[in-house]
Amino acid sequence: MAGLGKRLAFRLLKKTSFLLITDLCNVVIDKYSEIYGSRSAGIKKYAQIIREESMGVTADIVETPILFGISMRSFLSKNLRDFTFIIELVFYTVLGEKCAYFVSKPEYLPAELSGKKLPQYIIKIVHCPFCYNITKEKEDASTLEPGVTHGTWFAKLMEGMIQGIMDYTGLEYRVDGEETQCFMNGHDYGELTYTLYPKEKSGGK
Amino acid sequence: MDFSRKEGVGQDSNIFSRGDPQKFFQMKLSTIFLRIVYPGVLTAFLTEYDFETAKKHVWDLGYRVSKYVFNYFKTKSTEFEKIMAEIGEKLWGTKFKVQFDKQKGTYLISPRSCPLCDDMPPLEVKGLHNCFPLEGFFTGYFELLKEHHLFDYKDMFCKVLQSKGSGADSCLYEVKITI
Repeated sequence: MAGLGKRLAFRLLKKTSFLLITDLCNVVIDKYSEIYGSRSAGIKKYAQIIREESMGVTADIVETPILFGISMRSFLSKNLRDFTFIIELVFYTVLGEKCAYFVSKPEYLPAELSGKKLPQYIIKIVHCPFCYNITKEKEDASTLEPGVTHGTWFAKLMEGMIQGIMDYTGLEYRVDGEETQCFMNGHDYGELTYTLYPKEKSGGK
Repeated sequence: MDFSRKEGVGQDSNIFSRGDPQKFFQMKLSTIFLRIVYPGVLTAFLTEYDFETAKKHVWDLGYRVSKYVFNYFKTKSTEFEKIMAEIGEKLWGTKFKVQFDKQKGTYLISPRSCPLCDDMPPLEVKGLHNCFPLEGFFTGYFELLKEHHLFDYKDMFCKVLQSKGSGADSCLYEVKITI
């Protein structure tokens, strides 16, 4: 039912060119880099804005009717394993079936299997519309601050979205997302990693 | 997980495996996504700068985007109306209705749905519109068409006259082209 719904939802929603919008995001980073003095500062500034915005918009995505007035809310579950399906649903609702050219199905890593001994989600970026045209001459990845990559802002966008859905569902986790692999660092694919910290523990931020 | 750089691999060595721009270009994105990546940028400019500077930055967003876009999307038509139709349909995902105002000698363009206003939170700032970057975009894109001898003109002026995001019934842009 959700499979049919996500197709209908994407068909019904207003759409624009994906690449046009990724270009807009790259232009914002270019401008912020000039304004705030470095590429790292520009990416971090955009990431900060994006995270807040994505949390706010998430509720609207969850409430978007995807089939006969039924919204994504109906498919939310407190089982962390089911969350990969929700992330997939979000990608499909926003990008349609061609999202497979961009990201692969998210993977759930239970606490016992993760290096941090905390639940994690891994999203593989198969092809990257954010850096496909970013040469070293334009942005030298080796000069970025540790922990900052070109896709940090997108990692934070997804962090805000996952956090928003977690909060909506009543799951008591703080989500921390990073781009753990990046084409621009020589990797064969990009990778976003989301770690879930129990909210009652300080865990970082 | 591997945060580090891959040793001995040049940054640009895998640039062709990162993705095909034409395949990305075929992908359509729900405008919901735009609500995440765009309004916060407008707000940040308006809160951190005086109005005129903020406005310049917003205009410049559109201008710079046109330079990126031109690398993978060049219109095929040689008439203004048809060029606008191509930009509307293939790029912005909408239809631009183009009318020529004989008295003023300008083109009036109204999008069926404005990608930067529809589904976007309203912008209640006098003198600025959600779709203001389109002024910069059209200016930059036509500059490139001229530079590449794809459409010739002497002078061009573009203005967003009204915007749905600012309370109007529809968006309306004015373009004056001197051939």
